[in-house]
Amino acid sequence: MSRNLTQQPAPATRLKRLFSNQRTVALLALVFLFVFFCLAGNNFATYTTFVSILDSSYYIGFLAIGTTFIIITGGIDLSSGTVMVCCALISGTLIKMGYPVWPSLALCIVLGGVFGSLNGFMVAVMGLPAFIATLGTMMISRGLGSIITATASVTFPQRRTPEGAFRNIFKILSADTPTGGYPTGFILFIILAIIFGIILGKTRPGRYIMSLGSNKEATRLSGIDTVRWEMLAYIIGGLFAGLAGLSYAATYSTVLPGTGNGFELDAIAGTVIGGTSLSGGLGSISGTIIGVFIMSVLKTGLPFVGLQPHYQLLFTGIVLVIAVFVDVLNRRRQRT
Amino acid sequence: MKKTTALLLATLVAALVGLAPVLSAAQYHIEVVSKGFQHDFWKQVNLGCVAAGKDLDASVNFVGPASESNISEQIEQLSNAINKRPDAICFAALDREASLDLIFQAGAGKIPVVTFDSDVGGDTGGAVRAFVATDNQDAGAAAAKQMYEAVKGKVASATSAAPVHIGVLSQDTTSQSVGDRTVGFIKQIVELCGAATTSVEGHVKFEKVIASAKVVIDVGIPAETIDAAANTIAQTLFNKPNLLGIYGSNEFAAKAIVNVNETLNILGPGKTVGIGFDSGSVQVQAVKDKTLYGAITQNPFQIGYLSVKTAIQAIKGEKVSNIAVPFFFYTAENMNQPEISSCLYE
Repeated sequence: MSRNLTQQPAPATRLKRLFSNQRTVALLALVFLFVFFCLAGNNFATYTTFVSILDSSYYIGFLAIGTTFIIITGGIDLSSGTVMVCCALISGTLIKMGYPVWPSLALCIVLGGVFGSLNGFMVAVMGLPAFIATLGTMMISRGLGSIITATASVTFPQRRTPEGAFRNIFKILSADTPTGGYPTGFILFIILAIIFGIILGKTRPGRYIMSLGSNKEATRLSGIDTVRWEMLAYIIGGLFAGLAGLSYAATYSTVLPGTGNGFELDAIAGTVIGGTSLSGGLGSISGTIIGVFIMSVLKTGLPFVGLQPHYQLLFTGIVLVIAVFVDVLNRRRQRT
Repeated sequence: MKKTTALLLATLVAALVGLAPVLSAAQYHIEVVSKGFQHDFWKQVNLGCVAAGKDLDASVNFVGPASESNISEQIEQLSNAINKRPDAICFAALDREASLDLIFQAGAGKIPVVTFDSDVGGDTGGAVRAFVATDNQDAGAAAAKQMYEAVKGKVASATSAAPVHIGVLSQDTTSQSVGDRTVGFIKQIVELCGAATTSVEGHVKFEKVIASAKVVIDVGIPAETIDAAANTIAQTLFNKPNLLGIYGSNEFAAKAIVNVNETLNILGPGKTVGIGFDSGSVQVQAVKDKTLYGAITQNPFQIGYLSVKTAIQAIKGEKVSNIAVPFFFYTAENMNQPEISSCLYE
């Protein structure tokens, strides 16, 4: 997103460019939706509704941050949703078997990293197409989750038990807190988004990952170890899938084997709505966050204006197509 | 010109503000969070809820997730329902524990909750006032008694060298209602066939393996709630040797059994005994043409009606308690009797 901003353009051009920027359009869409639901929805503008929006954003948000790194390399990750569920299932099963809670939860993130390394190895070292490699991992992780749990659902320790303390990472809720609780997960989410936004936009590894997606061959010929940085992108994706698993478990308590399919597509949709180009080389974490919140504001807001949440899919689809079309138009204009 | 614009704007704002109360002119507003619209069962529950709303001056908003595996979607719907600050909530839990935080929150917001079909388990801070459902263990046991009556001759002549099999197809191990019907059936069959010679196999949750059993109960649970997965499991159950009977503990499971039987043609009079649960066009037709020996039917309309009725009583501060809604065993012979046919739905 910051590629063309090296020389200062005239103010009018700058304004025009701002509006031709997909991220800006997405942000305006988010603000518009939010204001619309606040005005039109009965009881939408309440503290508890905002907490609900946040609750339903964490796991998709974490998945999408990881997915952004992968898509920017020009790759794709179809496995993030099922890896997320598989990690949560394994970690929850260990807790159920009596293993200590915190190490089991840490393992959830580590396992995500392992799946990420597997994806990275297949794509960067073995040279498999990312679509196929991560499709394989999607099936492997889904099968593994069902095998380890014998298809039974896994319920994480409840909030009002000592083992359930981990839920406070994402929300503090007790008799003393206001209704809806404190959405502590939002702090974690924003901190990680800022850190990884800086890594992607301002550091050398981030630039290498970006340039991989612009032109892999040129990047390799300029002496950059492409295998290493491509691996890194997938490992980051995996670690975030693991973290998403934790937030999912904390928010929804029960994780079902055989589920998770489709979450990766939500993450990809959020990433793309936020301005990350599917062909790689272009994108930002801040855009991704905006994309994710557009989806969750839609999902939470629609029932308040009397529509079933299934309409979220319909509207998200429309937003997705428009967002990508804006991107296509801009590229066409840049080329001519 | 300016005046016209201002007038138009004012009308628009007034319309927006005015719309909401007009839409909910009823005295009470009740949010119903069900398990979805996939099965006809829930459509009947929906009709019951709406009918009760009409009779008792309440507006009812009925929602449910796209699939019964979709716990997170249901939790988001429940959370939405609470945020809308209704007078009461009726809730059929996909998972016993996933919703506890939210139910607690409803209690803190003084919103009474009536659970139906599937209860929640654990500390809800007194938010749940009543539970309206079929006694599912009892209904499962009733199905088992019917099954045993139909196959007891062959059970008596079974030996441990050539044990007989009874298959159980259950949608999942998560939902309380389906779980109870499965457990109720298995317990009753084991009791009737003799605990010492009956082995329960196939799924860790129910397993009680006995080495030299004469009767083997095979429990099959699909990896997810999609028809293809259930058909695969039904197929493996049908492939057991000496299969005397097979039981599907809800509409989804019974449908899989009937569908797979179309190719295998194992069920029917004088052949393997199939018993289902609930209705739905496929299952009702199968009972009618005697592919299935019979099925248990709940009274979904009544479940919906009584849930909303109980919720309204709770709003008024009346004392409410759990309601066990009666069920029936229906066969090709009795399914046209009015009290039963009114519970069956296509």
